[in-house]
Amino acid sequence: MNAESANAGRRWGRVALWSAVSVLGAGALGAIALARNEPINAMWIIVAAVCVYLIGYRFYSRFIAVRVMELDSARATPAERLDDGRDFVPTNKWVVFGHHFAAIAGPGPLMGPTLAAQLGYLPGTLWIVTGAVLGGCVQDFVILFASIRRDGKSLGQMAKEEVGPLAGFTALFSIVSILIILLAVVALVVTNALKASPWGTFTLAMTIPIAMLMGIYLRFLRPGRVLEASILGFALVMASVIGGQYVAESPRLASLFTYDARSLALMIIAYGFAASVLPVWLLLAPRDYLSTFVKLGTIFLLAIGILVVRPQLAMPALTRFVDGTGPVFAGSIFPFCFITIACGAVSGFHSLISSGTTPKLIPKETQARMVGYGSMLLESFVGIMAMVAACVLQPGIYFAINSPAGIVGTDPVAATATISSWGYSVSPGDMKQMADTVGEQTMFARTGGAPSLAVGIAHIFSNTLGGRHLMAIWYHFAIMFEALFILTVLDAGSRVGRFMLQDLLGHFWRPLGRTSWYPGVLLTGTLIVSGWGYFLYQGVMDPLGGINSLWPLFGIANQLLASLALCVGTTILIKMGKARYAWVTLAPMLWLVLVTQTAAYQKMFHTDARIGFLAEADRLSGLVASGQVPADKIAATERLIFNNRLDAGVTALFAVLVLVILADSAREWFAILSRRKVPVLCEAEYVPSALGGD
Amino acid sequence: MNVLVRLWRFLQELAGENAYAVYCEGMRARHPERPIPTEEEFYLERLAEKYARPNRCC
Repeated sequence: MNAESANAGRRWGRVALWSAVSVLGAGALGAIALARNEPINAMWIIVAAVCVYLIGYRFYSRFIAVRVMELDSARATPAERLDDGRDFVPTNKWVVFGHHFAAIAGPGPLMGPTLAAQLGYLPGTLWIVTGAVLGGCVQDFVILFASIRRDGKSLGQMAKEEVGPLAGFTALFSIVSILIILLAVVALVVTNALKASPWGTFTLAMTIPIAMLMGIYLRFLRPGRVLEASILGFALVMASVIGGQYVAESPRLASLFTYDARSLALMIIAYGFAASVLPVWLLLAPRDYLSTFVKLGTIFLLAIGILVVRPQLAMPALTRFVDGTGPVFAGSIFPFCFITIACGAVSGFHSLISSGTTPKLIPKETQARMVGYGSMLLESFVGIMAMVAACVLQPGIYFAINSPAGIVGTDPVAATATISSWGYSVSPGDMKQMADTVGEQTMFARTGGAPSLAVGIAHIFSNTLGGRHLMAIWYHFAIMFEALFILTVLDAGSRVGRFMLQDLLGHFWRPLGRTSWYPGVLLTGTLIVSGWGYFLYQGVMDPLGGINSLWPLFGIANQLLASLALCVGTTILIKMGKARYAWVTLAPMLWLVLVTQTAAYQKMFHTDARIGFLAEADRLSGLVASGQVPADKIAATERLIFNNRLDAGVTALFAVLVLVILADSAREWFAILSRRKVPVLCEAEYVPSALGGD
Repeated sequence: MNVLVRLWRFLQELAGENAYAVYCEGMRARHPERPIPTEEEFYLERLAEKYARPNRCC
């Protein structure tokens, strides 16, 4: 056979392979779409998602890489040009991929799909897959590329240079506000997962001294030996997961670790403050290593577990709550499904990572496709696994765990009767048995998504390994896994927020910008922690459970940042002379603007008090005015009224920020497209690469 | 066996265990006259740098 026919053979082989992937994906999607009244197997969802990812990666990301951005493997990246062995280091592409993925994958893709499962598995699943392939991956990829061409500049700097100073300032301001809401909502998730749970609280409390031990090991005993320290730390954490059972069973020890949500929230705030001013090497860095390895390992095991168990989904494709009356969060599929699931589909926060460390490590421009687009596909797959884990639970149990007491009441008989009346049968006995199996006192009203996700993960793990009697261990392992990296996010986020605030305030008064000036550090640290602490406390005291009001705020904030990133991306494409391809970033951006504006409008002005903040404030004011609130509850109700108005104000602020960024960018686009302005790209100069490979 | 060794090497690189060696090599090649920080100094300085920017997402 000559070379030409061998080439032709390979070509036909590829065509056949990709045709097969397409047919398989289409078949799986068809099976999901047509199965209406009988439960389907999770494998259909996994196969459909993976086929769509493969096709998206092979064709769409290639189109973006070759036609739209024209990635050039002959052009030296900042890692090569500015190589200093510290910030800029050409690094193996799989290592960069690992770093980038570990940085973008947090609690978001696990929580969002779990909450969105109240609508059924279908809306969330479709959004996670299409949102990632057409939106989230594109954002991460384009911003990574833009930052590589600009010496690893941050999103804020790029917004300022490419769009204008107004967009730049709005970016910085949005990032700080988003951070505060994000930290409040993840802290609320941990609080709800640990309340009245001595086992979970003990395990998480133990991770603090364990991390400190690792920190001392890493600094003084064996500097930088991260793997050894992590293995040691992991063994100790597993010992405390198992030891937690004895704590929970001993009445004296259990009482030391049993707290209500309010006390836990105050402890987490105190912890957040302490952690954000402690030296990084002592607590933050070692726990970050530990949580990163636990996270990667658990995600890997979950994938294996789903493949081995191949569970049936107990949740229907669509529940009755597509009408917007759901107990987990109120509001209909459009727009609320699309802001409840941000991470996993499109997450604006990723643009900060894509314009952070990653662009300084990539040795070849062309690898941005695998690192940027590819990592986000993997995160989207984590979202799909979370959706599967939530949907393997019986819907009655899912709703009993995730419905706040403010909706179903605190009495087990009444709560289960309400949930059963929705058509998802569950009995007090089922819930008692569930609580006993996982070693908790109660599983009612454990809102936030972490407990129900942990039950789902424990269900899959115990079916793979260990059987039913290990269910309690796996449940607390899953709670520890979620809580561990939420604490890492809290403490890394508070620290970064402090630096950003110092940067912002340094513009007004120079000394505040100095990171070594202790009063400035304390002041800005306190501002950030009290910022998220306030919203956390508000969420804990909210009779509807806090998730209902805070999670949508977080979703809107995150998508606001994504709109900003896609705006910067569109501006750069237009300036590159690629206006005919600008739809690549413009289309997902317009979708996100539509989603966030609709959601923001509904959260402010909807007449249903469970959706609209102002309607809820008015309803409560009416109750107070008509004397229906008992005298001892008036102060608390007044605070609720204030908080609802505050949340409406924050929502309005986010909505206005989106419009400011959009208007500022559109002005720039029209100026360039109508040739009134000569486009000036702020790219670094072209230097040919001396590194081999592509 | 070979696979496990390679996996361990990969994890070491992922964890940044070779960062100091890479740095020293680069410094000796580029600026042989400059003093090289100790491994502990390098480790602390890298951490301070790493956690001053967003590096963990939601």
